[in-house]
Amino acid sequence: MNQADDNLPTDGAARYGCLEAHEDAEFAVADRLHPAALVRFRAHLRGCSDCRRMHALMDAVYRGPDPAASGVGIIRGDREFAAILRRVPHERPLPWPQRLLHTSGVVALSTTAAALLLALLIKPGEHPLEHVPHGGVTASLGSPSAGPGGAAHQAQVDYGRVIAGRGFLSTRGDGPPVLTDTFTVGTRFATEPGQSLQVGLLGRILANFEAGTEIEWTQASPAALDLTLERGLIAVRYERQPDDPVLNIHTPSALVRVVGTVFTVEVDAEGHTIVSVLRGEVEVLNPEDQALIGEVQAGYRFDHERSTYTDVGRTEVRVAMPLSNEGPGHGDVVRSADGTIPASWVVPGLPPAASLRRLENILTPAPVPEPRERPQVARSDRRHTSSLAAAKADDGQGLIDKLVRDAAETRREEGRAILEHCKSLYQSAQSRYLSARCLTRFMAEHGDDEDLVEGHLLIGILRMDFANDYPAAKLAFQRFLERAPTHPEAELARYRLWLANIEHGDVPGAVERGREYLRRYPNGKFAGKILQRFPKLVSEL
Amino acid sequence: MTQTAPAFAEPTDGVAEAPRVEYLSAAEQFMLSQARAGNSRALRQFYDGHQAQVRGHLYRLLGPDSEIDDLVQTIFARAFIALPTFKGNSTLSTWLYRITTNTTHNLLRQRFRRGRVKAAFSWWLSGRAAQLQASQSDVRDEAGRVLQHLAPDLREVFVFYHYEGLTLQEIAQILDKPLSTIGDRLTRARKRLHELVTAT
Repeated sequence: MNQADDNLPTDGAARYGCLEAHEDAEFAVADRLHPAALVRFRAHLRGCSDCRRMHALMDAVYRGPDPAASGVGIIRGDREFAAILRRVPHERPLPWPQRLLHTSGVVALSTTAAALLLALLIKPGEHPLEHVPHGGVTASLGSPSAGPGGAAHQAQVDYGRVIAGRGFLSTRGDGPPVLTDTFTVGTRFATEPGQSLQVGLLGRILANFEAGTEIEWTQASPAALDLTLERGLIAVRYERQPDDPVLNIHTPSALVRVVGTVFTVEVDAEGHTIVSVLRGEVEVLNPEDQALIGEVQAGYRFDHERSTYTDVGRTEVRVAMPLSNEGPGHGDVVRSADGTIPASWVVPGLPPAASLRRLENILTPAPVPEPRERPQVARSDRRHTSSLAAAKADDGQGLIDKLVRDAAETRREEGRAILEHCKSLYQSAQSRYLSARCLTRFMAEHGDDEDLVEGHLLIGILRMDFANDYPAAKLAFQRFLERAPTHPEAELARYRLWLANIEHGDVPGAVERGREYLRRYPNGKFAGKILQRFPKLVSEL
Repeated sequence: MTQTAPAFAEPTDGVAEAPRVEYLSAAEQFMLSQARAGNSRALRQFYDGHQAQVRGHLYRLLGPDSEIDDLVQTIFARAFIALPTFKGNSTLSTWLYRITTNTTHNLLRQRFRRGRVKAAFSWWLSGRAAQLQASQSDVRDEAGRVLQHLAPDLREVFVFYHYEGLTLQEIAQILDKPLSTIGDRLTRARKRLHELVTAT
């Protein structure tokens, strides 16, 4: 007997057996047993394996199971929520006349005719949720205030921008062409062979339309954005936040429902839909009854017609590459694309080593655009000759000044050459995503040069268009305006600053920036775009 | 039970009474009004706010079960339909517990009836096996099996009281039974569990 047992009445301890332990078990578990009895109970458990096991079981019963997996992630939550909305019509109780018919059965055959007549005459009451479409993927009822991460203002939801490339934009129903880089819901896009077009929607969706694509933006609301792809191949990157709208892509044979991912959708010449996913997951639904046809995980290519899954290929990755904004970078270093396939994209067969994650290492044969070489700055022999000539003529302070001037000029020329290279990357829709890295390196080396301050503006535009990094973009625009307030591109920078605010969801900030722009440039080339979204600012003119 | 509207009631001409304020915060009232109008974002907010409660309760009630996801969908679909009838006489979570109970009660009863003989046999087997091995996870599994042997009426009360931490009054409101009935069921549940545990 141990020390604790010594403190107990000897006769009580002697009488404490399994029966008493069983009686006290529930109180012990609930922590309601008298301390003295608890000591006896524990002492008994030490010597009785059956009671010990009984106590463990009783404790487990009262503690209950641990629903560790009670939460669901955003993708699973989205899927479940959509399934709930699909189920709503089926769970709706039958109107009472129909219920009556069901329950009466054969008992009231004589009244069936009358009940049927009644059922036909009585129209079931309309319910607000009747308007929620199956799947909830296109639900857009009411005008809720946006939560965090949601679309804050209709001016953000209803407008998109052409970010790069060429294509034909027209209003719905073969209407007049859209002549500006801003478009609204109802715009149709068509890209001819040899063209591609990159557009931004909602400030979070970046899409690349390949050559030969016809697509229309059919609907936009804080709950859903709808695109209708008639033919061609598109790639989309959507960094979706929990309250952001769901993106639906309608094709002739399927509905692709997206909750935040990088993927491509293709409608081939036969009208078949092919969906490839590089990151995240999408659902392919039947466009008629919204029934789930297939879930496409990252790394897979789903052929809707054949219902087959294969690995994603080089073509899909190539089309999605301009949407890449990831590259090697650590800590505070701003990451930007360098042509490496992002580590977050699942491409079967590619090793994890960054140096090997290149387009050419994907096995699928496909034409690959030739990478551009960085231009080398050829030093001018003439300048060297003249410097040497000056050295022969004057070996004093003048020579040193001359060398310093030459060095500065050479550095500036190098800077200009790099900037030109970055601009040439920027000019092409296919390589624009690579120019961010080029410009970042350029600004690190030449950012203090007043003549080359334009780099800030370009970096801002790239951070905004390709990375959706609006704080960084705003900072870059502000730096540019601080350093060169009278630069010829200052007007563009102020417009971009306004645009960055609105796409970031900062509507008050956007109104303020728009007001500032209109005050400075009442006849500016972007004034119409600002007034289009904020008509109330017309008073500033 | 003051919440008298059944979970599957028809909407009253599409116009519901404004919910009473004492049980609902201003944010909940706003969300509810939006959800009743069919606003999908508000419905999503409602789902996000309560799905863990529903899923957790189902897990505690049924144990690991492949039908839990399906039940969660059914419960929320019914809740969405019944939102116009919610009068605000209880908190939203209490109201949702009631829909959960209504949805699962018949399932529990069916399973309990059908599985009684089978469960008794497996219970005997597991009891024999438990003599041989009793690791922590085994004890947890065995506890789950013990709970499945409790009659549905008793199990619901036990789970609400001991696992969900609800008061007897709240349970009475959810199950729409007198307080004395709930107290009696809880006592019987404990007694039965005690018998089951000590019999192993």
